Amino acid sequence: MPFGLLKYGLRKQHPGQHHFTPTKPLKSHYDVVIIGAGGHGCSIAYYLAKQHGITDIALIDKAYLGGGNTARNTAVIRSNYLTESGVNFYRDSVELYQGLSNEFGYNIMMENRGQLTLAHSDAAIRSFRWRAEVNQHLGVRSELVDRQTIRELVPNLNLSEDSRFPILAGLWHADGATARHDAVVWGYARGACQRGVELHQLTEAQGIEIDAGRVVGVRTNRGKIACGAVVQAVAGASSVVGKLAGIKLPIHSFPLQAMVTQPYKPVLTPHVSSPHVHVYVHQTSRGEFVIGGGSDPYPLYHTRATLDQREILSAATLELFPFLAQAKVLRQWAGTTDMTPDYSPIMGLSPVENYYLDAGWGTWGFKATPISGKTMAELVATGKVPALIQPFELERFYRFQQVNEAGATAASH
Amino acid sequence: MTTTDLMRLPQALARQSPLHRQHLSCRASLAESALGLMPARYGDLATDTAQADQLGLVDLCLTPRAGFKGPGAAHFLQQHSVALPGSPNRTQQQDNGLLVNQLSFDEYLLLDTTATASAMITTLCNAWSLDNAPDCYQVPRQDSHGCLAVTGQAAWRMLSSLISVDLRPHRFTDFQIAQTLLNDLSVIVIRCDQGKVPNYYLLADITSMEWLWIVLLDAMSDAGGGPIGLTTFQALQGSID
Amino acid sequence: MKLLRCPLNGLRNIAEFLYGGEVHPLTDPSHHGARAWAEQVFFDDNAAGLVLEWWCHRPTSYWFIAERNTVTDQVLRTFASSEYYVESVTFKRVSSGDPNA
Repeated sequence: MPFGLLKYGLRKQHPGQHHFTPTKPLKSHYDVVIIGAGGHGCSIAYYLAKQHGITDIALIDKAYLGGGNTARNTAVIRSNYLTESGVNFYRDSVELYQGLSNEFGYNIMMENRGQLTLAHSDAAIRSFRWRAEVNQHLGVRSELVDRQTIRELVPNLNLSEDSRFPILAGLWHADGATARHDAVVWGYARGACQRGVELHQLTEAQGIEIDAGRVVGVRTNRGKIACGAVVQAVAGASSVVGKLAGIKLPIHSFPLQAMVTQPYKPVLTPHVSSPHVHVYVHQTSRGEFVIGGGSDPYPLYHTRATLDQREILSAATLELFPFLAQAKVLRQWAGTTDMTPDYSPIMGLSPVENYYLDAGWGTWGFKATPISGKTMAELVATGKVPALIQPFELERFYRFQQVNEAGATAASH
Repeated sequence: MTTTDLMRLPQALARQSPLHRQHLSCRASLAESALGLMPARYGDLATDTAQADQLGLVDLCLTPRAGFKGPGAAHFLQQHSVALPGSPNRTQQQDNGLLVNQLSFDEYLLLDTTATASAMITTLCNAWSLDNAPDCYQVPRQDSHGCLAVTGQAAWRMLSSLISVDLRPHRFTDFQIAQTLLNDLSVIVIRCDQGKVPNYYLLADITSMEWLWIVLLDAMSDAGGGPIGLTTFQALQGSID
Repeated sequence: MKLLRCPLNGLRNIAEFLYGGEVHPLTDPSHHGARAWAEQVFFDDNAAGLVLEWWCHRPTSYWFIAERNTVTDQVLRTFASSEYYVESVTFKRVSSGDPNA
């Protein structure tokens, strides 16, 4: 337990705190402009300020802090991917997550609940064995588990052999976790602002100024900003913002839908995911069941929820947890996801000098928030692409060297 | 299967419908014809006919059917004196009872469920070749698709519980076609009343026939529906005049 | 429930259709190298706004073109592909040349 927390606990009064500095007038020049004040944008600003001493940063967002996909994701943290590049990257992210509350002095409500992925076919068992071997080799806790172990981990899971797709085995990932998604972005934004970063909400990037192949400024609804470097961290709208800089991306935008039930007493500890019946479920610390995993079947920049998806998600959930049959759905929502051809992100250099990409976050962005911030900050500060994110560069598509994580992604597409 | 059956050559055995097991379990009276072994009746003729008028399900998997498609398909069929419907999703019944169903701008499905089973389909298939039917291609409908029919006054209502197309009798009229999904299975629905009895042909992938048969019987059970035999069905056609 | 109007089959439930990608000009295989092929295969406009795209009516395998607004999810019109591709697209066959050029 950090000493500060002990001191805070012994105090007689606990007044509320101001999280962020009030908005200042927009300056005409910043060293770095970060477009998008979601988890990733704030994380990049935080590590630039903290680890590289770069604090002349404008963190701009067309809406408000953490109001896009950071607010809409289902807060799953895990690293049981399939490729070496993927596992190394997400493993380092999970490790950073473990220390975040202490580092921020701010509770992100990290809980190591573990994650169980279900196999309903022999082919899935084979791929799970493969993933478990790759994971263990790279220091990630993953193992193939049998039905008896599954019964012990999740006693209320439907393990009937008479169901449409009986559960045959599972991939148990003890490092799997969840955290309060809003707290993560608030923690990063607060840490960045305390070090001098300026957060400018309701500030929309409307144009990118390029001179001789090099980015020199950003046009916004609040005026022009000259700058030395730009990072775009606007997953969900990556193609639209990329186009401002003349960059075409291999991304398609699909709404991913999720819903949440009324709260119940705690009955489900791990996160349970079934790629076969297309659903994942976990119970939040508030007691609600979060149900996710359904993408719309065609591209769309709209976050409406549909009855079709509610029906599909409900049917799949009841296949796994029949006891939820009477549960009431409190909310259903969607977030626009940047789907890439190989289900891996697009990070690093772009065709425009000093214009950096943090895009293609599909359905795997929240878990990567700390590590993408750390590596992107290193790239912006040093100009060198960190080894951890080299495999995710945009150029990989031109070399036909994709990082295939389609099978290890929980959401269905 | 008896020893004598095993000793017979496969071609000497009667053709069976993909729903043969279902017919046996429903105690159908099977009759062998040129088409193969088919359920003639389920009850006696009177019970079967009453069933057909209320809500009946017929297996027509062994009845002849064929397909022709391509920009030259209409010309080829007209050369052989086939009357065409003139627009997609319409059916034209020939004088001999053969149904010509236009599925697309240039695709036709021929269906013959009559007791007399005219030789027209065989004639057309034999007459067709790449050389004498330019831009016209045969579609192997006999083995790719299975065919059922749902008959009776309650048929449209029952089908409406499974299909999201407006099947109300005044909207989906005689000789109209709907190509749609039945619980994610592609189906062709053709309305072709048999005398006074409303009738809907259902064609779908032949490997899904048993599933479709079970689903339809289940959906029919509330309205007192049940299977009827081919003889009963064809007797309805006899009452057309 | 969203409905889409198929030029052949009329107004149907969206579940009967399959999205088939953006309509764009075909890359002439004889005049482009590996980079152009990568763009053809992986990269798309992914525009927020009015787009032309391919759709397929699954029960009939009928492909047609829809004009849709990807921000409001409104379909403005659907039409037969023959309206768009008035002439058939053909490419000259080139037997030699470096594919990685």
